[in-house]
Amino acid sequence: MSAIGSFALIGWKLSSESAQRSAATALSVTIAGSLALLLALLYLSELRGTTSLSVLTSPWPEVANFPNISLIIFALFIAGMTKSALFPFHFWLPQAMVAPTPVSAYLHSASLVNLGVFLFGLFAPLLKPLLLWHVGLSGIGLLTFAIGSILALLQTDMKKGLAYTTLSALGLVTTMFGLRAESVYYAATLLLISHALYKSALFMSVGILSRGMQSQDLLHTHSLWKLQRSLVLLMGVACFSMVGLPPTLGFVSKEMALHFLLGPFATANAQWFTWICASVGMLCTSAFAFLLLLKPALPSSETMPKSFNFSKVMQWSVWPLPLAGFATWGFIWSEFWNAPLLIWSGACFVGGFVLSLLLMRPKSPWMKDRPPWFHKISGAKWWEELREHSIPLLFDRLHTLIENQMSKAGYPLLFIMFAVLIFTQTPSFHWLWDFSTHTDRHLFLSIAIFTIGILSCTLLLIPSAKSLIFAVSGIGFIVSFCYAAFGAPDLLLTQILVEVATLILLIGGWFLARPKLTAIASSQSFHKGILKWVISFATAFVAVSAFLMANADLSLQKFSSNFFFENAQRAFGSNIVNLVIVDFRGLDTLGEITVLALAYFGIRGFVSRLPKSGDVPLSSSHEPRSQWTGPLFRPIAIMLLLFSLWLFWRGHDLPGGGFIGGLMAAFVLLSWRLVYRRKINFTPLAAGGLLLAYAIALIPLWSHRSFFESFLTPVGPSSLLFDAGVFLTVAGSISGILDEVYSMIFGFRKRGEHVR
Amino acid sequence: MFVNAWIALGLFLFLMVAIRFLLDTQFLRRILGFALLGHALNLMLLLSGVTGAQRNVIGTPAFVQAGRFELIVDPLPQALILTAIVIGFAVTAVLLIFEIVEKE
Repeated sequence: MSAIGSFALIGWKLSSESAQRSAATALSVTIAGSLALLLALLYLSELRGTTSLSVLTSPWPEVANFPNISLIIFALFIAGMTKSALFPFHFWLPQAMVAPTPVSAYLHSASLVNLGVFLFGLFAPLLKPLLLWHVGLSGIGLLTFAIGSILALLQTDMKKGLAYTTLSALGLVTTMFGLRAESVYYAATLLLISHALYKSALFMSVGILSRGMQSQDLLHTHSLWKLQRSLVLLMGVACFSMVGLPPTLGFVSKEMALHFLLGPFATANAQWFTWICASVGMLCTSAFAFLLLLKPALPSSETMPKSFNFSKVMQWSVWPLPLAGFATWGFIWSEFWNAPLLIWSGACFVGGFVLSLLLMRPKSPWMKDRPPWFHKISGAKWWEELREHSIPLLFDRLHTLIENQMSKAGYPLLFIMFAVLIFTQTPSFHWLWDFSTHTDRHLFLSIAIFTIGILSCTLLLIPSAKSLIFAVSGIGFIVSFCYAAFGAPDLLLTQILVEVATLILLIGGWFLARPKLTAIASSQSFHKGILKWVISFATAFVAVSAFLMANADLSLQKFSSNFFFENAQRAFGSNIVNLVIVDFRGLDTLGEITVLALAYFGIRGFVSRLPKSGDVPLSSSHEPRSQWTGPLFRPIAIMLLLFSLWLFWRGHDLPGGGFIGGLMAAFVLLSWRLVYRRKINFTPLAAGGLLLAYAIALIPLWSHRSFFESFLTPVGPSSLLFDAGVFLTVAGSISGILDEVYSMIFGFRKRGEHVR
Repeated sequence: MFVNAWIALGLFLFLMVAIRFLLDTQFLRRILGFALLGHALNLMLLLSGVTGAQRNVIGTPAFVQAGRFELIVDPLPQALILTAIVIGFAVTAVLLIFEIVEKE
């Protein structure tokens, strides 16, 4: 969510091409990180058999004996590095500087980039004993620390420079989490807090500055001390915190960090590496801070424009940040006296000051232009290359590979994959449906149902048709949570899938009919309105009262349901809900799928009688519109189709079955139809499924058994074949119904007319 | 008693709004009222399965592995509801197509 929000914020300027490009880069990088995180979490939760984060991250002595623990660590590294913009993935953060300044301040000091570091902090207790974690994390952190500060020093764009210093600060925090000393968390947290405070103050004041001067270039600023003393003072406090001078919070955090960096090392090489990276990083950060402070403050011989317009209000809104920094002293006072203080900042201070003065010499090369190697190490190009060319090409190759294999080996390949899926030891993923077996379900159910009641009352107030459709669908999803709390995983899956299908259907209907809603009270006479309310009130009252009366006698035990439980072995399965559907009450189900198929055929008949207006050809081209869609969609669709088959297959023993698998397959078929705009005839699917189901019901009669009796076939129990019929009918009918509606949308009116 | 006042009040409000929507003059509200009524009745049917020993085992899915019938929630209403959900979709679709065809 944070990634998507940041995407929207970075791309704030819709007209700017570079803003859109940077936003897309940020999104793609962070989403790649999220996928890595998902992989790590799934694997870890499978290993430990729980999804509780507090359990997952707690220290565990056997962690070193995990199979593939390095895979998990690498995935976590990738996740944290992409989110926090650490070294090889650092390019998106400076690019994101095209966003408005408050957004930059937010991105850098508050939200997104800190998440990656937070992730490292979260998993540090668990993984700290491992050498890979220690070496990898501190290595990444130190490299980023040094490189970020060097790159910052080479920038003259103030905002970009600040962005690079964010990298270096995050690198330092990451290093802290990689170290093994006990109280590194304290130092890391302190670093994060002080960084957030001084960096957002600096961003905001640079924003005020650049707005006033119409330029973000550091070279154009001078003589500010005469004009804007308060702003320079503000920047001074923030810069001193960045350098780590004594009265500021930055002093304590930097001192602590450096103290830990002196700590025990694995080898002498590691010691040298740490020392070099740390001193380079410290020196360059200090130099940058001095440049940022001195260049605007010192007078210059150049003439300056008089029309500066600095916002006073904005300045006052920034001042609380350094105040908060000083206030934090109150919390760390006691710790502060215990910490060994070596006044490292003194050296950084002097060194940085000298370096900044050297760079500010009138004839220094820094004043001219960037050295050519700067662009090479800033590293924005390779991701661009990857995103624009390599990844689409990869998908394309994958797609051709699958296509070729399909045409060569034919569809058996698909079924081999399916068989592999079924017969190999698939991860159980029991938490997908088992999450309701702890906590207080009764309380949850009560709250959920009461919430549904209140929410449905707000439906009466919604005047817009589209909002009403979405609100009703939202209630449907809450109902599915009720099913989950009740312990009905089959219902949960069905309800969610059907709710999605209903939403698609109703939105399609909205496109076609464009209903205009009037408020519920206005469309009729007063008496009629009262009458309707009385009727609905009375009906609901009677219904609920009857329901309560029926439920009052709780001592009753229901033997009908017990029957299904007792006789489950005779139906060769263990998921009783599915057994009831396909075995014990198979006749109901047979009638039900008949109705479903009839609804589809009826709708088809109706629609075919409609006069065809507009002559927009349905399939003018079979190619999807974006070059990404085709190659991406096909493998995903095949995988989802396999997944739906798997859901159907396991239905007899685990949540799933013909209805759920069929609904899943219906979505795949529908999106196939919409992506490739190819006409698919769903009728044979629905009719074939129905025929199969009837055949399975009638076959026992032939061998002198009773109608619908369960028997074993070479493939499995006969109910499985019946369920296959259900699967086909549901998939064909539901995708067919949705397809009729969407064909009308794309066929009846000329394209563009119905999209406002 | 399993069905407490909160559940009863929630169900009552839900049902009332659903029936009021069904009685409305506007077509969209009628269709949505139908969907809401379906949800409400499904929930009532589900809750009617809570009798006897089932009060204390809410949240345990109905699998044979549980060992005893007293340890699982009632599977019969679940099976009925499952088919009712899918049928509800089909009926909504037919109603919607009726309306669209009438308009065209």
